[in-house]
Amino acid sequence: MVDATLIQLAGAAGFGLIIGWYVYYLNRYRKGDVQLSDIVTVIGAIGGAAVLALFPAGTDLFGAYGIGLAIGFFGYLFFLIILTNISKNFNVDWFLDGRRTLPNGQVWVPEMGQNPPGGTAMFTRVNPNEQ
Amino acid sequence: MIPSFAGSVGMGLLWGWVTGGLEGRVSNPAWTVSAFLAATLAIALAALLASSVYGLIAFLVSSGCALCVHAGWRRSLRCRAVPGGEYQGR
Repeated sequence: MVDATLIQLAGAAGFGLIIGWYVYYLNRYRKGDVQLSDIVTVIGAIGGAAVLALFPAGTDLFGAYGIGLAIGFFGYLFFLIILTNISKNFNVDWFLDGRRTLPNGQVWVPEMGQNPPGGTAMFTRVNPNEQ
Repeated sequence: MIPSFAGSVGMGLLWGWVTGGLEGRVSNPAWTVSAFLAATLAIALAALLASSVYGLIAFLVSSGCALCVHAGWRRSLRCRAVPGGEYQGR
């Protein structure tokens, strides 16, 4: 078997990177409970017949694709962690249920069932300047 | 240059993290667990075809590690969010 060239390896890794990034994106914006279509989408992206046809078994290309896949997926997570750390309106709890601080100081939790307009107020943060 | 089982490790890490995200938010356990087991078998078969038995082992080990790390992280976040109380969210 002929060894893959560097440009081929870079292409396979880049392809995996995009797919991994997109898989995190799809999983992040999934609504409600897990559907069969969600699982089929992920399987098709990470180990489907198209992937195995593109990157033949046992080759360096498959290894490069898998590495790119993991870098893209966890790169998305890494950027989310950085952004939530930088922002004053989000903290690490956002990863649990999407909670965030609204402009009026209330903490809103979007995944706590059906919310009335304006969100569910967990508590009101008192602004010391208004006292 | 790059061992082919590295691809299986990447796939396993991704799949384990996705599966670990279900921790504490499964409303229909029988359906969800069986669907994810079937999906895991399908991806494991792909790993076996792509990079032999070493790829299969690498896939299973890495997905198990990622699952434990993500599920543990979610559990610790939930305990932190509502200390001592029962969390009502997903």
